[in-house]
Amino acid sequence: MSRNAKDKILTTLTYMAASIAIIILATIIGFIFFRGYKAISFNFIFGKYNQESFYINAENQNKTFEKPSDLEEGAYFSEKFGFAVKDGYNLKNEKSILIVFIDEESPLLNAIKFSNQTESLNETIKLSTNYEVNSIYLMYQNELDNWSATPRDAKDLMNKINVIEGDLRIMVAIPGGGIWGSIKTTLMMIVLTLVLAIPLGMGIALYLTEYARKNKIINILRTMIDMLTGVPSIVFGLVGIYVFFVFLKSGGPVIYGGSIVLVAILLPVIIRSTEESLLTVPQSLRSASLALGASKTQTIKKIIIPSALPGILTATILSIGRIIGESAALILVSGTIIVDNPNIFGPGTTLAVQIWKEMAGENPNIEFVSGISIIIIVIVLILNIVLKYSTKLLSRKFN
Amino acid sequence: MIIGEKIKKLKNKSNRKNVADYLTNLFLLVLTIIGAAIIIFIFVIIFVKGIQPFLKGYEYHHINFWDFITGLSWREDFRNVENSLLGVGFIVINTLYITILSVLLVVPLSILTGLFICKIAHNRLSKFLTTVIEILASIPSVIYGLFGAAFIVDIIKIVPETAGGLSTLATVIVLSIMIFPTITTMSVTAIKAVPKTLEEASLALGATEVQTNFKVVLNSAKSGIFAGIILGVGRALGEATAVSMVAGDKSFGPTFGLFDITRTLTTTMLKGIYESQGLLYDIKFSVALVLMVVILLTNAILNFVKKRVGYINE
Repeated sequence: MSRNAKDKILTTLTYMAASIAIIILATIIGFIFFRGYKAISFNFIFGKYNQESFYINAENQNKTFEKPSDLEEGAYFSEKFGFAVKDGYNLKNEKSILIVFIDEESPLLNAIKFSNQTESLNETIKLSTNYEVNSIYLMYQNELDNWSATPRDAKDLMNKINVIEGDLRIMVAIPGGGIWGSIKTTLMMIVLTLVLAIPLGMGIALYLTEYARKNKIINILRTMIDMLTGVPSIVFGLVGIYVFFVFLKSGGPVIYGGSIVLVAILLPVIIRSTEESLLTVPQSLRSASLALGASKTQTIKKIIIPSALPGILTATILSIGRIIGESAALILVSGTIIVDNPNIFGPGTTLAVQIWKEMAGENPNIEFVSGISIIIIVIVLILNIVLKYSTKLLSRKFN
Repeated sequence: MIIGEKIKKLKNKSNRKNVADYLTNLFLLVLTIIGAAIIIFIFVIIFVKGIQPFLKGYEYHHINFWDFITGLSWREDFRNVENSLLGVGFIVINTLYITILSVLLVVPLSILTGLFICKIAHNRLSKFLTTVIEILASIPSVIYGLFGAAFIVDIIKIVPETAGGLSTLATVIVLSIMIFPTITTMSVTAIKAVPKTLEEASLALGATEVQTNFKVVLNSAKSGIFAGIILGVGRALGEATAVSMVAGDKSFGPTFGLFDITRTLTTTMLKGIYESQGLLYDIKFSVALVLMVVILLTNAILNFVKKRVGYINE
């Protein structure tokens, strides 16, 4: 083979390798966005995750409602109460009966909330589409004959509704599937972790560069910090279980435990990048400050920390990215129970852990999970841009 | 007590600056001691809990170290802990096998991409590709796991031999995608650090540009590329979440079939923690200890190879 042909083949190979990188990224981002964009809505971001279910009582007004002409195929319409139901899947991908249409004059828009089958809460509620119907309470003239039934499907429910003569009493569930609880947990985790990790990491870096003498103990400490970088995050999680469940008797997964484990994971990263930026501060600056009569504390406060700011900022942004992406350690320590109102002394899932939890289920809802992924990717991309922009800006200022 | 006396002494010298200096020093020292204590504590806990099940006086169910390290099946029995089969040998082999396959798949791609970014692409394309690699590096592992479980596994499902697509192959692909940015970034740094004079010398001797890139540039960037491989291997060995989503849950082995389900050290640790005491909890620490030893050993071997490779070329 001639040199020329060989060169061409090799060059083509590099082109191919580079295009594979682009193809991989495009496939992943494309897949996530294509599958997940439909899931994203106001309710998805700000809604509750867990369903809330209760009975409602809708008055029978002895009216006849007209079936709308544009009703979906497969939907069953009740002429007595003016609403339609259809078989479908809820956000957890379970089979359910969903309300798909409500007439403007339907009594369902002015129903009374019941805590159970018979106790009224004296509170009206406006039903809307996407609510699930879980069971129906059939009422007869003799109260003892009353019984609640779980309808098999939409058709079965409608058959039951058609035979009742009095009010309609059904158990409905407000659709869950919002991620606001997980977003709150993620924010709590970020704030708590950074509040602990940044001062600790910065302090250690300052001590190591400005105060520590070069001796064996310090060398061992440095080696240990390096070794900690290589420890997989799941191992931190295991240790976390031991510390919080056994030592501190937390009684179950806790968010603050997750934060403290994250502090340990992030410590080497923060120490390293702060130290690196401290080392770039020229020795002459330190000497000049001391020569002018400033104490060492003043020099650190006024000269060294400001100069090291870009490094600390970089460390902070990198840490936020790590916290958002971390899953293995948090699955073990802060648990996989998805809660709507997280408390730092209780369990909670960050967005990444919620993805894992959903995927670990029997029948994962890929649309829902991809929706969460889109949110994570967008946050990570924004962090990347901020990182690039801020380091550029700050390095211009200081050099 | 001692601190108070020291402060008094410094105050007597009527120098408030000295007191402040002393307190800052002390404060930072305390922080450093806290940090060191955390780190030592972590290592000690892993070690102590990890070797506990093999010690004679172990309160739950003592198991033989040799059986554990060479065992070829893993089955956790929560009702009768004594009936659990806890052998980690095949899991270690599976983990290494998957890691080696991923690295073999990724290293050529990473090196070629690095070369493309540094030497072949013009400025704008090179910047674009660098951004692509950066984004790939910053995507959290759980999203790679989702992509693997919902997309790659779905494709592998077509092959009749698989059980629903969870397989060694899916794990290898997911891990490859995850370590690709790591190794590529390091390769780019290494290639960029090659002195221009070396290239010019090669060109002056009549070598074509492609020859120079492949023979001279790559040769002198070898050591840096190897550092990238070491990082990538570490990441592949320690990855838990993404792997647990595509690997399956095999209870015996070792598994070498690409379409067969598998089990790695990390999935064993992640799955099935239901309690915080007892043999089945403590044994996870032993698995963690094995994982750390595997990571340290591969690191040591790769570092040794790196030195040898670097030496020959200098």
